[in-house]
Amino acid sequence: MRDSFFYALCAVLLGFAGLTVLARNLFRAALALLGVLLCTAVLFLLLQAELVALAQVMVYIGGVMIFVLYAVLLTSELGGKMPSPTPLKAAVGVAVAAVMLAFMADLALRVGHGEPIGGTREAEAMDGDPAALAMDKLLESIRRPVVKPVGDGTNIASLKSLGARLLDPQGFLVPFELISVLLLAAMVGAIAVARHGGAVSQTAGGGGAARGKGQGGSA
Amino acid sequence: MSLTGCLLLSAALFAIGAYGLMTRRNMIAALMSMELMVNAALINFIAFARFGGAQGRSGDAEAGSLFVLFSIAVTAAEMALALAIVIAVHRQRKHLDIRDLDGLHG
Repeated sequence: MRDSFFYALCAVLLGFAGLTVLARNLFRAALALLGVLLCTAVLFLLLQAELVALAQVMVYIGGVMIFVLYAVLLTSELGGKMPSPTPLKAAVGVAVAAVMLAFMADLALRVGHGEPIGGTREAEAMDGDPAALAMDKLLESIRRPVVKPVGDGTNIASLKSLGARLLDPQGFLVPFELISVLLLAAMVGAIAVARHGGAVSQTAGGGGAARGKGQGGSA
Repeated sequence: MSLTGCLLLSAALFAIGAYGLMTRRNMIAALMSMELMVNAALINFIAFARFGGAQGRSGDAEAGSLFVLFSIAVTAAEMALALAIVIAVHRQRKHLDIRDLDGLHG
């Protein structure tokens, strides 16, 4: 039951993804991307990452996608069609995508069968190297969960343990603080870029037009 | 539903996004293709956190979720800046064709 739901979800997700990439109408592509993000959120729920699913819906769909839709509506007319790629470029794109897919599918199958991907030789070489050992110890301290999950044996992050891990100095406190600075900087930067570009084009185009009109009036 | 299934799904999503990034000429469409690829990476994070990595290592569910949350925040910041640039470019040039945006070309 669950497996069949997973496969159906995969099919819908890939269908939406194909529509995102192939649709000639930009608005339709944006709506398809919305479908992809929604399907991904459902997949996260299926993988028992509830908080991430929620963040996906609230941040991606509620924030980023609305912004994308606004940008689409502001910059292109609704019924407009984009030119389809030339056959040569489409062929190159398909070839590159196929090569990527082949490599990643090979890796996925090997990981799925429990084969080690690299790692073992590095682990052997690490034995004598003090720097590598120190790095390993550091990584181990980061990796150590501070609060044990409630039901042990299952690999599910409870909201409580997530919060404790996020605000723990041994855990993710530093990136958490850094990301707030990054978001602030991005917000200020976005406002500056959008406003500055508008001001320049207005003084270049609008000002010239006004001057021309004024001259015409005086003549 | 297994680790392999999730990884294959993510690989397919990534390949579709790469195709879009290579063939689209509109700036917003290219950005949307990039979003597809980011989503593929996020699916990988959650899949490994849920099912564990290679060699029977158990995954770290909290770290996986938190990495994805951070990625979502970074992507939100990136998209805000990118779309601001899109709007600024559209104001100046009245089109969004990637091929013609060579203002920084020496």
